[in-house]
Amino acid sequence: MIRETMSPAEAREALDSVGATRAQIAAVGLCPPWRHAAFGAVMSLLILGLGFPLGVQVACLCLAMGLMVVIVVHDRRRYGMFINGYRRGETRPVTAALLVAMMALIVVQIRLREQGVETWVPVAVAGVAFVVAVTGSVWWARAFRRELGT
Amino acid sequence: MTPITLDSQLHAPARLQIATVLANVNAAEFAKLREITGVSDSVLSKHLSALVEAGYVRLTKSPLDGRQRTWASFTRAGRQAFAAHMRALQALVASAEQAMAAE
Repeated sequence: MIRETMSPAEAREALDSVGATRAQIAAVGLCPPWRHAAFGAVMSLLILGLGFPLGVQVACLCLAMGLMVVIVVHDRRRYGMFINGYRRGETRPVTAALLVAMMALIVVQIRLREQGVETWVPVAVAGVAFVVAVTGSVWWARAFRRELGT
Repeated sequence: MTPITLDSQLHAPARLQIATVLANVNAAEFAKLREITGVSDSVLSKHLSALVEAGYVRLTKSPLDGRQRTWASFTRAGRQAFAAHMRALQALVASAEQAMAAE
């Protein structure tokens, strides 16, 4: 590293430039509604499969993974950037909360399957997972934009 | 006043913009970095090469829409260097503000 000097005015200018660049990145947080719904669909498919026998579980897992690939390719193409949900910053508590909620739903779904409940029950649990995941996705995007100062 | 250490590798405005992007995302495509920095392909390539040489940036190629695209991401050293550079800039501004308030 080389020591360099800079005037306070130049430093202020550099910080302003950083702020402007962060605002450009924040545009990634402006997801269309279908993007949040697609994430919700991935999570609900994962939860749905757990309420059924192995064949359905594998099919749901494959569908969820396929949809995840579509989402990643879409994000890379549309934004030219890739952001991991587990990134540091204000979004991490949102990710943690979403993870806890999903783990709880996984436990509920497995317990219900073991009890041999009617078919509509695991579908309803998957519906709850969809709502939770979509809410989490919207919350995550807001936290991302807030962190980047927009 | 204690001299504040700035990172020469992140001094250029375009490099600071590149670093700001990479500090907030996992990977950014070459074209996106060009759009944000507003520099030409060759200038952006030079900046990225310098950052790679400094050990701050990692470049990877991956196909998208049938074409190979270059993606840039921060290394751990790059992330740490950017954080230190930001602290130095903030300290510089803060010290100037303190000096003005004291007058």
